[in-house]
Amino acid sequence: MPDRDEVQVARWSAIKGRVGSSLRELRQGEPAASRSQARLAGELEELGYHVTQSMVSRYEQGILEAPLTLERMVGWALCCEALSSTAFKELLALAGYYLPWNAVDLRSFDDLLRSYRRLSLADQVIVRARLLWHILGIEASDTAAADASLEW
Amino acid sequence: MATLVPQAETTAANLARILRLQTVPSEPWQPHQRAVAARRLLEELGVHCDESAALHDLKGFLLSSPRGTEMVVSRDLTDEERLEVYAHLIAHALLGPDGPELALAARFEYVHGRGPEERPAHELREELLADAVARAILAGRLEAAPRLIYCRDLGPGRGRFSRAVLRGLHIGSLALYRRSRSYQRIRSLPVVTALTERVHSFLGSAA
Repeated sequence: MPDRDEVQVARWSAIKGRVGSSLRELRQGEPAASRSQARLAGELEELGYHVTQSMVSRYEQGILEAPLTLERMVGWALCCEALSSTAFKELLALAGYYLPWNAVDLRSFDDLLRSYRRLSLADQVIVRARLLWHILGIEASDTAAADASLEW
Repeated sequence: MATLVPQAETTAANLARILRLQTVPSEPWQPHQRAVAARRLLEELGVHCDESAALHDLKGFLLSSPRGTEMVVSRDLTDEERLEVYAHLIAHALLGPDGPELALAARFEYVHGRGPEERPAHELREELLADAVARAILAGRLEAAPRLIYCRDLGPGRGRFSRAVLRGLHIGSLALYRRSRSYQRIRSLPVVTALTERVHSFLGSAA
């Protein structure tokens, strides 16, 4: 295993099962809107992540030792049809991240998701990439400063 | 108050102003110059613009969050179309939500005929109104739209009574403008615009 803090390993071990099943629920959602693991891996790749289908499967089963980063979790969630503001907030809370959104923010995010899902897939991919940067608080041209910019 | 675009009222007023200046008959600007000037203005006022996106069903979109505001425009648009998208998105910013803090929000500009078949009624209403306001911006005559759209602060007024009358007139005008396309056309006529400006000056200027 790569060099990781014991505390980080212990924390991830404690939550990986619940995070994994949450992510699986998000991916599967309604039967009509379910995404295959392969498709999700492909969409994550388009967003700039290196998550294989096998990793998607192992994350969902809660057996992958490498902690799922905040960035990956947000990207994963944005790729899922079943995402809602409440599900998003709960997922992040499960992983220990506080999403500072009030009721208006949550409603606004749900409206945004509804409009976004009406777009063609090609356009969704572009909007999703931009959305990711807004949620993570990173400028697309400044990815090197990603970690420093997070305000979670 | 935070809006979809930082200082939406100032941005709309300035955009209309530069578009009006560029229609001076002696040396009218070319569409490319107009589009570049509009983009430069938006960037200066804090809106990040990207004109390189390979969009399919969208002409462009606006994303706004506490992190900032950006307008993404399709790379396939002509200069005139790009300008229209900017004006339309600014119109949405004038009409959109405002609050003490900005929530994550978006507005989409669809290619004609490629929009979703079903849209919520409130979206359609905002779209129709944004069309009219965008036309006013593009014509360089923001005053062709009801004042409450682009300037929510009506000023001190001559007194309580005149301020109340003024507010009632503007609210009535805005309500009509929202409902009637005929009124939108009438309201944009120069003679009507001049008349409303006079009434506003008379009732709205401080005693």
